[in-house]
Amino acid sequence: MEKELLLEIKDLKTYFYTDDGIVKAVDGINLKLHKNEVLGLVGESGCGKSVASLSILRLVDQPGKNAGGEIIFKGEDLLKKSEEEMRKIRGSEIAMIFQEPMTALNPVYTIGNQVMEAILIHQDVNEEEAKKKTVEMLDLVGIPDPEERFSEYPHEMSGGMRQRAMIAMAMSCNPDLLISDEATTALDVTIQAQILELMKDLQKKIETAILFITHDLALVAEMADTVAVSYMGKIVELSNTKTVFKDPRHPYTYGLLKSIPSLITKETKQPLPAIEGMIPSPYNMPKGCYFHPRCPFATDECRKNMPELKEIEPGHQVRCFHPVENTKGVSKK
Amino acid sequence: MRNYLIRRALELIPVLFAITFVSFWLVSKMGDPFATLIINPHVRPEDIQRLRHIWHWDEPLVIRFVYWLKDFVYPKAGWGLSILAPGRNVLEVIKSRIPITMAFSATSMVLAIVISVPLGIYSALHQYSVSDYGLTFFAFFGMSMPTFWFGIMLMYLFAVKVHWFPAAGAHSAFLIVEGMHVEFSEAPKIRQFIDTAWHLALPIFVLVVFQTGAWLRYMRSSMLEVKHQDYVRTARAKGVNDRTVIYKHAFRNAIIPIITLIGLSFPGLIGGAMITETIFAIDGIGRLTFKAVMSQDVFVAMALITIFAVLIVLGNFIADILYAVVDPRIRYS
Ligand SMILES: Nc1ncnc2c1ncn2[C@@H]1O[C@H](COP(=O)(O)OP(=O)(O)O)[C@@H](O)[C@H]1O
Ligand code: SF4
Ligand SMILES: [Mg+2]
Repeated sequence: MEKELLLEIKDLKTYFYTDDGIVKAVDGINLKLHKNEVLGLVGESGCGKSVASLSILRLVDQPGKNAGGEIIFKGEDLLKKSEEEMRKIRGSEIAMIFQEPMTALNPVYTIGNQVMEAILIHQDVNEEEAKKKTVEMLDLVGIPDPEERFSEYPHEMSGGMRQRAMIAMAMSCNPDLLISDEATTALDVTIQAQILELMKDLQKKIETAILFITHDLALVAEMADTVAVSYMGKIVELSNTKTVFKDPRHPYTYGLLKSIPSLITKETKQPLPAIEGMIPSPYNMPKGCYFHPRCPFATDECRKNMPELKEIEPGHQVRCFHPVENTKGVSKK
Repeated sequence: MRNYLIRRALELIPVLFAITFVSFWLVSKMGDPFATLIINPHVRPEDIQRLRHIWHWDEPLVIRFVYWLKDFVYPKAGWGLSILAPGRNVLEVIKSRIPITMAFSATSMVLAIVISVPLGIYSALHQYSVSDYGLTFFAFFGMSMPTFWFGIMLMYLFAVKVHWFPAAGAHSAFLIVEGMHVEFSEAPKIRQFIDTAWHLALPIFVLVVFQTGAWLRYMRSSMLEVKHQDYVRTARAKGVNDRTVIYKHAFRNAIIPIITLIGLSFPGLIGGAMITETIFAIDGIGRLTFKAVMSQDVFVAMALITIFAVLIVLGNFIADILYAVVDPRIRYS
């Protein structure tokens, strides 16, 4: 069952050239995303997930810059495209939803205006048709009374409704790729579940691939076909979701999984604290494996050299000198 | 929206009342308007007593204020004991001075807005460029330059050293029309306008430089703040072009605090008019105020202060309305 490749990120680097030094927010990541597939990108806050997603759309603000690599989307390198060509791709072929539905919508324009804007830019329709399409989209994402909601302002809506509107905006031009950057993080648990359900639903209907970014492994288990775990701008483990949850081999992934209450084994009973220690300062990265100060398995080799991302079994890549063995049973799923 | 307006308008009444009363009390401390009559040998003490009684000066402050207010709203012929314009109704005197002050205050305000808003945006969009630094220098120059000193310098340079502009007055006494000396009021309207503009150029310039400096800085920082808002990023992720991102999404939000600021700058405008009119010997309201205070003309001073209070409060009111027009979050609260 060979799926068509939609997006291939090769050795992508995005650095911030600040006065205090260079922050390697995205430091050579490789990812593949097939048509109609959901790829989960997981990692703690500050690991460079947002910067990675913005890099794909080439929306990283100063002082951030691309520092190498390729982003092959439908066979063409996005990094080689002109700004004009990129603009045509944004919102139509690649759409994005953000974490904060509160701030991601413009407070001075109505929901309808903002959803319609995307349609008017990318589709050859007049105002009236765009309006009709907008109302359809609002209806599709489960906003009640879409016709009235069309002329409401963001502050008149709840967080969940706003995020639905964001999804309507993103999906309005049937994108091939939807990037969801912590789209449900700011929402209540029940609303979060509804929004995830909606995304899954739309993903099937519209046949969109999703790059699903989150710091919450539990969400990935529900959403993703493939999981990439990132740590300090690098991918440390990559495999299909089942493998990552059943047989995590990188100590970081292992640590993350052990700390999720719903996934703990019978033996451990209590959720362990998240991995000991904190992420290093981006201005003062450790030598060797970035994870070594927090890693219970670290050796001298780890402190000297950065391990490569290696395939340790078919379809399962790990960046570690000493992959964890015997992890079977770490998770119930 | 209508209720909001009505409520805001009703709130003005007690505010105006309070300001007027406090001003009345302060002005009454300025001196006794009848004191100057005492030294006049032709005026008998009984006459002074009679005058005091006519003007209710022998009553308690509050009663006197009520009478004063009544006369201010329904002035009798020859109302007010004006030293500057004896025998004339104080309000008539003031009314005749309004057009010239309006002309050059409004002109300088409009010019300042028209100049500072685009320059502020430009500065923000080219942050840390040479032109940004240049504009910043200009802005600080404008803000920190004392108006009276700047006015005198300009007068010295452009009116005394080189005779490009007149040093004083709002217009010439005579104009030369078709080789003949014609009185100003007899000259064609267009010639009157040109002559007035020529006379007002320097004072307007002083006020414009002063206001532009501050507003340019505010516009710049407001725009810089908005530029990095999530909704601006959302718009770019939708494929909106740079122009629309700036003018539709960023500007509409950035201008909101500036509108309030301009509304609140009314007192500064009046203060500025007072200084520039006095320096450039323009017979407007500002110079009249200065003279009234200097000659302890209580009636003129009080009437002017009341008019200023009304203007300032109205300025705030207008700013509030504009605020509600540009910011949908205000309307229903
Ligand atoms: N404008 C910026 N200037 C400097 N560093 C930045 C900037 N934006 C992001 N970073 C750095 O990039 C890293 C990754 O940030 P981000 O992608 O937001 O993390 P995540 O989304 O995984 O929580 C952080 O270490 C952050 O300090
Ligand atoms: S390489 Fe070493 S330090 Fe890094 S994760 Fe593996 S065992 Fe830990
Ligand atoms: Mg993030």
